[in-house]
Amino acid sequence: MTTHTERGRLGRPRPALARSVLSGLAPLAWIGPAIALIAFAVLWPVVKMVQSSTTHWSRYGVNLGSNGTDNYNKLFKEQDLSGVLERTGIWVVVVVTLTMVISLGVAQLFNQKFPGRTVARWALIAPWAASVMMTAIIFKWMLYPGYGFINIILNDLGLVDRNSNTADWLGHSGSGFMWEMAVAIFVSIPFTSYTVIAGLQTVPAEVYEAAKVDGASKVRTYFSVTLPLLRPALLVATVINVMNVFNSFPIIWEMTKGGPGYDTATTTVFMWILKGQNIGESAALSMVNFALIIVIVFAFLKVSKWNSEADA
Amino acid sequence: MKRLATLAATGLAASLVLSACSSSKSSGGSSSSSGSSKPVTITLLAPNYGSGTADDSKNYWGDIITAFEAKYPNVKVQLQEATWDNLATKLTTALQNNDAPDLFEGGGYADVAAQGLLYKASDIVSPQTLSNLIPHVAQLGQTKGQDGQQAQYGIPFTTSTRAFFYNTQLFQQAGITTAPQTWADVAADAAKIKTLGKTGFGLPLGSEEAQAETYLWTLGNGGGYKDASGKWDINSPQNVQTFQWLTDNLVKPGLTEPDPGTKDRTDLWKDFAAGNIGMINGSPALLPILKEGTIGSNFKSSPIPGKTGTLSTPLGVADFIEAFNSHPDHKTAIGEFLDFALQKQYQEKFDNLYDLLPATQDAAADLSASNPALKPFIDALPTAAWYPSSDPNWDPASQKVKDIVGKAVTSDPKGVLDQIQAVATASN
Repeated sequence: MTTHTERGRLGRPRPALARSVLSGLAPLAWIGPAIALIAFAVLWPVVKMVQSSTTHWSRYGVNLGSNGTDNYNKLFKEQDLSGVLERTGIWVVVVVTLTMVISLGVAQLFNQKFPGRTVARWALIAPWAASVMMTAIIFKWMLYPGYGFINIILNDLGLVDRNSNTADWLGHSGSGFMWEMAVAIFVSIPFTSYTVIAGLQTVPAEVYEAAKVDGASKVRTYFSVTLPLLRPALLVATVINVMNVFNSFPIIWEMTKGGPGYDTATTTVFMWILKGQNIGESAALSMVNFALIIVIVFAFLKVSKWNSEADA
Repeated sequence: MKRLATLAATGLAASLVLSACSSSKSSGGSSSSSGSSKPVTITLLAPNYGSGTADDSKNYWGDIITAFEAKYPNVKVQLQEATWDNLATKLTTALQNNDAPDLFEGGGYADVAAQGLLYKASDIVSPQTLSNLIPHVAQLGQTKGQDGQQAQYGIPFTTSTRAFFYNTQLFQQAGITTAPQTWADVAADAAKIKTLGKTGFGLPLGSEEAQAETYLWTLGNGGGYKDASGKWDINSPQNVQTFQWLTDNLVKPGLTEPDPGTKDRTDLWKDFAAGNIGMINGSPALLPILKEGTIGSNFKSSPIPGKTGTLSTPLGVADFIEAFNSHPDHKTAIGEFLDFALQKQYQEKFDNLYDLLPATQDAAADLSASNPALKPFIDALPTAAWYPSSDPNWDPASQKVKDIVGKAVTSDPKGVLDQIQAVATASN
């Protein structure tokens, strides 16, 4: 651009300058909307978030001016924060890993031809189509001590006395969190399975024939042929699951509200709890969350060399 | 690299959806001028005091609103109902989003008053309404406004006192002849009831109303939220001792319901009404639940046991109405509605419906005569101990109590109470 302007000053006729500037701006007509959208939906909220996290807010949202890093100092002094972060790590790793493993199996099954496959595939959508909040509430009541459905079954199987302390699954942080992870896996499986099924359908039949001709065992075929070819689908599913699960809120909120104390809260839930007490501190935590999710996603993409196939 | 950038942008957008949503603001109310000559719509956010569809508070307010709108055709009243356990959150969220209701009934008022968000009572309701409030209850509604002046901001709407309830049938089966007077009695009786396969004592330390249960127990050991000089004293040695006693003598031996830190009042009251719990602290609001339950008339109430004897001061709870000043053009209509709703007939209707106590003098006098079951509770009001609700830090502190006090009976009580004390004494 500089050279254009200089040349313009050196005596070229003005219309030519205007024309070159105009033609330089021409692509804007195509990329402009996208830029505007990103600026509005992504960049502006980030700016607002940074601002909020360095502002002193009254409990009811009155702006009392900037307070530098006070909110962050206060946040890092929260004695529950380390536990919350640790729990968030466990939450993401366990939920995503188990979701992926189970979905691989489910997808393999649903990729087979069997009578009623269409119906079964539709049924698989149910947990996905249902509101997550609704699912969480239903599980909460199924786990109710005394007469919750799951407890009655476990009781009849002789595994758990439905009136005992053990049956109060959501009352203790350990078992409560475990059930919440189970529900998170339950609602993540449909999407993941469909992504994997889509991936399986792109694997050409010839490669399986070739593997058969070479005398590869079923297990060997799966690990050396199917899985590598599924890689793009698995990567997409993992990245989206990581972000979804990290930001998941309704399951924990509906089942235990993050309690007892804050012992089943992840960062997203803790952020919401803090919002009722200190908006600035809550905004600081949402900045931390934001940084974490970016680091996690980039680290994952880096480690998995997600685009190596495209480069090769 | 292109794909990386796209993916990153998608991630960015996805993780920002939440924050984008929470920063949206509503555009405020209508812009009609003051006076009730032009139509206005005022909003009322109130909790549901009922426990079923028949006694849902929607019906109570609905009747008042219908009658009011007939008399004042230019004012519409819109009721938003909340459950007790999310009432405070709902108000906080509404305020943070610049979407305050005109009237809020049910909670504390001091910290919003301190921030200048409320009308003074004398600015909106008539002098007759004000002078009709029970004086010492009305006094609880006074706090310092943004201007630093003490004034009445909270308008009491209903009151209640707490009592100890026990299941007489279970007591009889367990061979207990008298109501417990001390904590040691409670533990001993709970142990006997446990042998019947029932829960000895219902201890609701979950988020619904943990601040009441906490207060009842700490009062029993000469503790409480503040010391005699009015300073926050939540982590006092007496209070720590109280929770240590609860842990060692009720919770650990399994004499309460499992995990009391996560259990809410209403659920336990229903369980008590079903005959599954031997003893529980209740308010008059427990009475309608008992009527629906299977317990029949097999229950009695008595003074609340303390460490060495029953409490001399019962816990009194007042629920206040506060009027938000975000829509100056609604001011007249708000006042008209409050004057209308605080009439004797509606106060009495409410109290007969929920067995709660009135906030106005004429209703108190009437009810003492017409509803003998309520008379002892009404008579006890002047001696009651109340929450420190005129302190602006009470709202955040009581929220913190609801959040974490349940952990005081499973982990280190001192640490938990220290955390609450820190919130109560923080400067805002």
